[in-house]
Amino acid sequence: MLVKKIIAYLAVLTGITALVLATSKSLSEQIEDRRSYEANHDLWWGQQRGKWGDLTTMSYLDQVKKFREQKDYDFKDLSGEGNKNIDLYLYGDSYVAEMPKGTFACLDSFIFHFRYDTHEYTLDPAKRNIMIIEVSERFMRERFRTAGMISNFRINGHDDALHPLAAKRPKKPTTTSLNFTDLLFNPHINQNLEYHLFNYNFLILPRQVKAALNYKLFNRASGDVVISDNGDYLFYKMTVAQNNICSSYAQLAENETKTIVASLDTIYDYYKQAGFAEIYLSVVPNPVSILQPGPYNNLIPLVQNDSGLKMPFIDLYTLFKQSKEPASLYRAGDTQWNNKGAQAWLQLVNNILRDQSKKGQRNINSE
Amino acid sequence: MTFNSLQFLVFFMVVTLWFFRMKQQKGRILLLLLASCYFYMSFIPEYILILGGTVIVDYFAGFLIERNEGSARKGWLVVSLIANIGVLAVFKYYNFFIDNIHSGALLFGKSVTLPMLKIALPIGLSFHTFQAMSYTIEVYRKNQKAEKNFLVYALYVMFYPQLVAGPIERPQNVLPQLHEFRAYNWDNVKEGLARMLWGFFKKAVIADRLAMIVERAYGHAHETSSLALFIAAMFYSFQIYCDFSGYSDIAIGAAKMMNIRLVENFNQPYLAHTISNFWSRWHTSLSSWFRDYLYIPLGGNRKGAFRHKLNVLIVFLVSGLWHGANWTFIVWGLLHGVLVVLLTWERRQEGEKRAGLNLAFRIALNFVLVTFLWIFFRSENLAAATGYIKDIFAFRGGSYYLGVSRAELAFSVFIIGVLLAREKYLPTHYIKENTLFYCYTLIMVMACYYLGVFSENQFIYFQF
Repeated sequence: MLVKKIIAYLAVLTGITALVLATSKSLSEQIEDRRSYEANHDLWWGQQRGKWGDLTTMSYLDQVKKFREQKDYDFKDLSGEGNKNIDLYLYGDSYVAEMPKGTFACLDSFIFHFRYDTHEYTLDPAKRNIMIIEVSERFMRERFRTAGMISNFRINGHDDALHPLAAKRPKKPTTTSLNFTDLLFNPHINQNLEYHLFNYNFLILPRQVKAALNYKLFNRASGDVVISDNGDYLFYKMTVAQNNICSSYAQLAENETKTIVASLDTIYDYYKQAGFAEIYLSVVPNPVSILQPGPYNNLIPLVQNDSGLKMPFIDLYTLFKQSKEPASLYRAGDTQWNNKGAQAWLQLVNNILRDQSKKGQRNINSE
Repeated sequence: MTFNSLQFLVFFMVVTLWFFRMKQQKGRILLLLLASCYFYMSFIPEYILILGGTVIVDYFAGFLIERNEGSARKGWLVVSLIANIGVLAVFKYYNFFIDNIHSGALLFGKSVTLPMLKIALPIGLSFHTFQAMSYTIEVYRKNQKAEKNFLVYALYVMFYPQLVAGPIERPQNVLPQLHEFRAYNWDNVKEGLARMLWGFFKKAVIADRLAMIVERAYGHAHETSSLALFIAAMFYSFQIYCDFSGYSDIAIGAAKMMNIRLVENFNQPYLAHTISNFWSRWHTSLSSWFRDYLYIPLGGNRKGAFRHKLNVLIVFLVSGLWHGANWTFIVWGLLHGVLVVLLTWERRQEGEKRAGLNLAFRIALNFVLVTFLWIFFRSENLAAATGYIKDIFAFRGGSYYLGVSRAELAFSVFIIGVLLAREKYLPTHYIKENTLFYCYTLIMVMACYYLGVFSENQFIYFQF
């Protein structure tokens, strides 16, 4: 009887601890940081990691050969090329996060601004300041519903009064204010619970068995990953779901592209006034938009071809669509492109940078 | 916090274990009430204020109805009904109403712009308002005494297992149970847990697997063959059954573990041989609510054949509207009503002996009818529904791909067979032998984990 009581109290305590940990964003992040140290990876309590791609890791399908494709970036060094009169500001995400400065032509300086970060920059008026806004398609609808990036990517000395969004931006962006409900309820509590309760090396086997069972029996991946219709690729489920804002298959709301274009125009006007010579938009298509377009909602072409769009765009979508081997542009078991895809993007970008460099040179000569 | 989430499993474990550690009913009531608040707030925290508001109004309305007679008594009932229906009208139907005014005005060549509300529908709103209304109506009818203890009354409305998707309870069933301190009962725990596991199985293994097929068919209707669309429509019949009855099983099982008996909500509805028979087996807590609080007050079948048919149509129309502010639900409800009214020959034969092939044929026919009506329920709008039905009757070829492999399709059919056989021949969830119970638990946990399709799919009926 006493043993039963003790077990019951222990279970209650464990449950409450798990709920508190999974609810608290900061506690969860601290634990995750500690567990994700390189040295801890192979320990029994280390967290699962795979080298074949984020989707093979998420779906526990590392054992399937056709999805195995390691990251193969091979960036050329172009640091010696051109006039070095461009300061490039690349506002982007993980697609371009690993690209070194040397892989871009004609640069004097290179600043990569990760889209979640907040920073204030001082433009060098002696340079040709170019901004590239790179966004993966799955984040586009959410990201550009508003011109909110103005609050995160700030330009020092630029008159805030020019735009109401900029005027409202927080002075100290690093502090996060939490209200009462944020402390009690966390929309990611289930993912956090799964992480804290089950994401340990010693518990991987049952997951791998389930993944293998589903794959062998039903040719299906588990959880947040789906297998392409031809069986050769893994797709992030959110990019193929019918009702997900990240999905290539989700219908666009009425006037949604107009709203996106209006936000992009606001952003364009703002940074133009702030001193940028040009601001480019570059949308990296979801793999499914290229490899299995099916009922594609045409988000990228609709935005790019909108007559109201002021921002020039780097048209990767058309390039990928016209590719003879579109399948060779993305990693089979990852959400991202491979080296070939990255190089295609870099070629477009570097062509633009060379043109801009020449323009900058002409301006100096004419002065 | 959906039932098929880790959060719920941990939460349920903590609450249930803690519940049995408490030595007084007062403490248990408080614990369950706090747990129910947390459960409800995990969807949209702010909406606890709306729920709390209606709880307070109905609690005091119950007292005032009991203390008064005549018109004052009726007046307080009306206050309670207006408060509850008012919340429903604002949060669930206002935008639908305004949208139809806009469309109606356009038909007459006029443009009207009335403000729309930018609000999310509070989860399970129709369920808990109906449950609250049944309390004040029963107090008015003198079938139930007004509840003195506010916490007990609040828990009657907010008891988390059935708060957001029923079964819609009656005060006579639940309130006495909430007053009674019942000691830990291993038999109830076994029965409740076994039933919960069966509910999880129905949701994770069957409903969410079929959801993949159905979603594909509805999303690619124009390129899918007629036969595949018809198969997907039949799969939807089982998806919604497993989804909703799975929820009810988990709710009833969870309550049972805490020694609270909730009403049954389903009785093998696809074995019904008529539409009216279907409604005596499907979502019975709602059907009986409409019978007792709408159909009978309207006159039922006591005022002649015409009024009887009209009453049936009204009830089904309101039932359709109860499900959602969309013409698809209204048409779905009305069509059910029309079929009940038109197929009166069925009822004439109710008393006749039916057996063998004749009965099997009628069950199959009824299932097909119900399946076609579900198309309205599932579709985004009327055009999509009629389009889907047209595509089925086009008898055209096209893709037979339904988003899953053939093996998974075959497994889906097999698992539906398991479902029907289990519920027909093994309807009980109580397993007397402990060893057998442990084996069953282990098998069901393994089956749910290894065969379950885990996604973010909410229960379909949460939206109502």
